[in-house]
Amino acid sequence: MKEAIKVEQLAKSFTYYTKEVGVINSLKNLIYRKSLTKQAVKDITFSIAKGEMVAFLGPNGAGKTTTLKMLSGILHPTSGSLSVLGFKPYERKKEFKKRFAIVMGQKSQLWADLPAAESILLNRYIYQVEEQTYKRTLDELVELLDVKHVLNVQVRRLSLGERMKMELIAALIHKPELLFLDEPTIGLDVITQQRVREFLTHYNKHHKTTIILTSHYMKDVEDLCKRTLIINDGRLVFDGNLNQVHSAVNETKIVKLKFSHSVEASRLEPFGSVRQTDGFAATLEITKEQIQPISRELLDLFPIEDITIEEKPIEEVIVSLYNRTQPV
Amino acid sequence: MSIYPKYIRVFKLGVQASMEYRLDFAFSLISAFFPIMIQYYIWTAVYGRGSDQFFGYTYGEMILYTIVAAIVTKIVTTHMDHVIASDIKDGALNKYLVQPASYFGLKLFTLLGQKLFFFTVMLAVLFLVIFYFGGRYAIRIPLVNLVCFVAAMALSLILNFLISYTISAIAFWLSEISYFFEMTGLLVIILSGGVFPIEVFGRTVSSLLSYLPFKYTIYFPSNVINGKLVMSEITEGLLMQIFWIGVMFLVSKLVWRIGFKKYLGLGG
Repeated sequence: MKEAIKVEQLAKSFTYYTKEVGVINSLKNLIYRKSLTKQAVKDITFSIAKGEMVAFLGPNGAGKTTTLKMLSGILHPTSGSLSVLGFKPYERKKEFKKRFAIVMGQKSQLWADLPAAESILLNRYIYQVEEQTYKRTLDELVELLDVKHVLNVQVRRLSLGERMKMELIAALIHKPELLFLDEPTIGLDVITQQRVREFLTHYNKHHKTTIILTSHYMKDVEDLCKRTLIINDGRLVFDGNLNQVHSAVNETKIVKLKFSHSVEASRLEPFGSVRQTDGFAATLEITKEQIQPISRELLDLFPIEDITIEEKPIEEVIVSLYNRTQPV
Repeated sequence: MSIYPKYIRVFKLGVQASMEYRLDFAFSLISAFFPIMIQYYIWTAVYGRGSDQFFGYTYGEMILYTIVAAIVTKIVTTHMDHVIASDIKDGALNKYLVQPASYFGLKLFTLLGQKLFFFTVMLAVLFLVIFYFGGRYAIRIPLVNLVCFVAAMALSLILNFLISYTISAIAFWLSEISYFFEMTGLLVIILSGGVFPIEVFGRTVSSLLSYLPFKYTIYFPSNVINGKLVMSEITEGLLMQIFWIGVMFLVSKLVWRIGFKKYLGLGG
């Protein structure tokens, strides 16, 4: 079996209640509440191969975490079929649970009152890891993440970054084949984020662990994952390499100009949308097909010292993707 | 490797975690003292007005019951309902759902571990109280009662856990419930005889309470130690405790199964 995860037409809906502002409406709600249905995930289909590292990207409330919860068996899908490591996650079989782990950046699974070493040891017993294997794995992970000195410090006294590293160790102590990470770098400083990323890349390479992560940080996704699934409004709107996002959705390029004399903004406007100008430098957004003729014209008309043509920053592309609800 | 080491492990973790809260524990001991003081003055006033027996208790027995019940309450109260309910509410339950271990087992053994330290200290305190009062009001407690008492306390702790575990399942349906537990917590303690002996509520109520599990958590062990019960009553009480543990175990399983369905989004 080469596929770690296979998902077809997966959907999940929740019922919830609303309340209008005001006391009267609160009283009304006591007697009768109108229940509404929200479709958090709508007919998602994808499959992920073993050893792959894939990112789920999307705005808040897009359905990333709901999908992750269904994949790990925390939520029961409303409809559709899914198979994870050959199991149906919602049956929550013991053999299945032993083969994966989930780390939630916002929720600790460590005992706050005790050193992380204790929680890690507890996981050894929960997952029934042999002592020799346990020691080797722990040493390796501690070494890689460089946390030996804080292993025996009470968890509530650790910094956020240290805590996150401990969460990773606790989750990986039974060598899962599949690892879900829900916003693993949230709230971490840039250097720690970098360390966690390097660690994940290394781990994925050496242990062939399938890793699925959600994140808001573009850097995470760009550095870590060749493949990205972008989810918006419960639908899968993009599935592929982020570099292809440009060609898939991006119709414009960014042209940066430097002038030897001051140039008025109004003179640039006919050539494309002016994003920024201060007389001696300007940034224009120009559609792809027109890049050649327009840049030629610009060179002829203006006292240009320097001209660069760039792709739109990935964040902006993603934002334009977020606005889509149909697949690319 | 067998499946039990993980539960032994959380038991040990519970012991360690409880040690981190030594000072908190000391305060809880002190806080138990104030209600005892109030009751002491009330009963002194009540008994001062004539009859030397109320509800079948002499003055000495009543004071002893009050103190013993307060200490027993401290030992068997689990506060697990709060912990479990917030696990359900804020989604901390998720992390247990994905692990190959039962939430019920982990919580139970954590609790037992957490209580072990308090249990020992409290027993020591309790025995001191008993010896002091035993001498002062001529209440003699045979050794066999002490042994039965420890057994009754252990069963009572488990029974109380099951009651809390069942009640906390309400969090599957209601989300803002901290006062609910404030209320049920107090109610359970009163019904269990943690404030007065249940005879105080009158014949009807106390016979009604005989059909419920509550009185076997505080009232029963307290009376084992203060020598109110004869051996046959003690044996019967212990058996009733075991019976109620069985019943509450099944009830909690049932309630949690239904609750889980809702939690997992299976409708309902």
